[in-house]
Amino acid sequence: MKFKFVALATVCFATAAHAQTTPPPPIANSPEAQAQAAQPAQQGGGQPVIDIVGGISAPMPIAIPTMPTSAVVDTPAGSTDVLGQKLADIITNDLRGSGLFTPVPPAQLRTVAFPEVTAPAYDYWGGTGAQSLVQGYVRANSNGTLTVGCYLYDVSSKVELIRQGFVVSPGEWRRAGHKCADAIYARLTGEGPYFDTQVVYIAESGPKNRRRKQLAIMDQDGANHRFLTNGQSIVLTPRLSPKLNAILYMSFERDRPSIHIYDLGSRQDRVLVANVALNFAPHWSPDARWVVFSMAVGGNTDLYRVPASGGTPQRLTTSPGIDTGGSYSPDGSKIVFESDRGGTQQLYVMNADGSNQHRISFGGGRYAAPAWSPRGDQIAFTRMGGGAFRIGVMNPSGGGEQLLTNSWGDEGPSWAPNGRVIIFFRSAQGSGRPDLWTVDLTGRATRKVPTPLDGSDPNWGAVRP
Amino acid sequence: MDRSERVGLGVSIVAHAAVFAALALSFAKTPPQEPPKAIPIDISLADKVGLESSAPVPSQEELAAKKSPVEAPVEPEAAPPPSPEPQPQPKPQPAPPQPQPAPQPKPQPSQPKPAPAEKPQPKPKPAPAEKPQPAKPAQPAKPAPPSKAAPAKPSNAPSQSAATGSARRPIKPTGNLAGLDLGRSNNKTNSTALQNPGSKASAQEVASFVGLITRQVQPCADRQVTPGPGAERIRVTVLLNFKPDGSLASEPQIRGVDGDDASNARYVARVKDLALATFKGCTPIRGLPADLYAVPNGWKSLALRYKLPG
Repeated sequence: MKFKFVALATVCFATAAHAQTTPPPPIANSPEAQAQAAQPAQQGGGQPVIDIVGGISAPMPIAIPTMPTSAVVDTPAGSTDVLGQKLADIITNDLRGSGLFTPVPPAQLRTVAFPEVTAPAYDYWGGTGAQSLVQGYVRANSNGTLTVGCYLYDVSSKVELIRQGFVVSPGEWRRAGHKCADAIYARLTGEGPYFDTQVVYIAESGPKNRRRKQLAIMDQDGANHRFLTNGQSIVLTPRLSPKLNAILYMSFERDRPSIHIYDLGSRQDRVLVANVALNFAPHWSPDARWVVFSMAVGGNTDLYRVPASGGTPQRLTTSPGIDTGGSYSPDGSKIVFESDRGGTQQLYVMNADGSNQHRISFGGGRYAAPAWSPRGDQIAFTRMGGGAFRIGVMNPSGGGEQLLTNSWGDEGPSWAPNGRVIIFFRSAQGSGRPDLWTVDLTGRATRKVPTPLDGSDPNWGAVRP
Repeated sequence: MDRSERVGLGVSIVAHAAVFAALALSFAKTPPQEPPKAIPIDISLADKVGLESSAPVPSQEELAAKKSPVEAPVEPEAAPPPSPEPQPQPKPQPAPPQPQPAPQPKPQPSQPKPAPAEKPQPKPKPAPAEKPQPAKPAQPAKPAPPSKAAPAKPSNAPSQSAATGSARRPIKPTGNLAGLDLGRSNNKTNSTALQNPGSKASAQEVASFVGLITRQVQPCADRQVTPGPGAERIRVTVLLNFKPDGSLASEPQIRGVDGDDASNARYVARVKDLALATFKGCTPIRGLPADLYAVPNGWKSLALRYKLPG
């Protein structure tokens, strides 16, 4: 994978030299650096301290003009000046889709000259109402790669907040936009990045009684979509490996369920758990060494785990009833799962070795499909009640339950790697045609993920290196 | 009453009469004392009480101005001393300094006596030690060396003056010896440290300019977007150093953060950004009282603490 993050101080100086423009100034004085370097002034005990309280909970206005290029060059990905516009569009869509930003309308954006990338026109951008400004540039390198510069400025305080550069192969130029958006999102929200990620899901098509289900993978914004299976057999519940090199999924080849692992590098498929019994709902452990899944033996469905490399499954639960949907905590020490051992479908937590099983959900209705947040502080689930399926979260001890959606058929939550956003699938009442959606932890920012066909069982992968 | 008793009574009466007569005569001879003369004194009624001495501090600028209405010509210096603090204008100005009329001393509210220096300067002197700011002619020039030494202490004033660039300028004979006495220079500095006659800002005055600052900063605070739940518990204290015109003399310095914990630590950097944007976005502050700039409890250097609502 030809993708490289570079310190932009180097990239940008080289760029400036290439374009024969004024080299960018050294990295702006960061407030922290200034605070450290500052001499303590006369702040005695009697000095007045003025408290200021203010702020809003609303999307932040941000300006993202087209990225200029040092020289217009045709590349396999297109002309560098066109790429500058497309990169700005990718960043705009990513940030808007998060629900936390309001990009300045295109009519208010102005053309940014190449030398202006490091010397923004603060007064102009302040007039657009933007609080933050994203500028960057595109440059074609002599070795066929592209360099994308990414700068973030605070318009009010007129300081540079971010300066990064990315060197990508032409085939991965979109990733530079996602990486830039990730850097901006992380800096302005304090949350972890999640734009340069992929999603695996089940692409559905065909009539209700004879649905065709294919394994598919795409970028989180729907781009670079491709099918991994041909749809001749039904597949379910795909899970991207934490190492991003394989997909774990259920296959009903010849109507016999089995757990498979598809290697994304070699494109080879292998059976992990053969059809010795009914088995389903596999999940990776955080270190990708184990797979936890459910298996029905002797009329009792319990959780088992098996080495990802293959081997004999180890039984983790023994209670009468159906135990399924195991999901590891990010440190791998615990597993949350659903069980009807108490008479109704509820959520339980146990140690990874099966000990200390205890119930954490006590609300009305039923709980299913738990997913432990990568941040470790929340568990997402599908809550069923009143004829509706909704997505909710609670903390691992069972408190703080909060429903994030209020639709008819929302199911199958999977966390973005930053633990702030959840992807799920939604079916309109009576349609039988699911779509993929995202929602953030506030429940206010929802977004439909574009897919070429219907989509279900999404699983969000980690941020790509 | 027998005879002896009558004699005794008569003697007693005569003796009492003699004593009374003697006393009456002695009082009559004493000169009459005048009543105490009322001496009028000046009383000024003040509505503010200061617990500390607030004697005016003599200003060297004013002394120099009174004694030398004509500025001594100054040899142009090779180069102005470098400014010790980073300036927001990154572009150096290599052009020679423009001749500027000497800055007029501000009228001091507590010294109604007009200084002779108020007269127009017939011979403007070049001011190489002062940073030329053609874009901001109204902005007072910055003192060349750092003037962080406690400016309000009268005992430090002469030594500070000696350390200034203007004090090191050679002075040509002018025929006016007034500027040579007391080791003082006739050249007026732009230091604001000694401009104020000296009263400490009272609690009421502090409350007044704090309210002024709060009102002007609040719109910028209200624009800041909260990064996420829990960020409202974070408080960022920022030290602001002002120029006399209410603009920032230097970059705001973050002096402390509190209210952060494991659940909201990821928002600390962003709330720092918001605090800086709040205070930088709404400065300069207009209408601050000039006489409370460099006094104890004044507004030359202030700590402001920002937090999101909630």
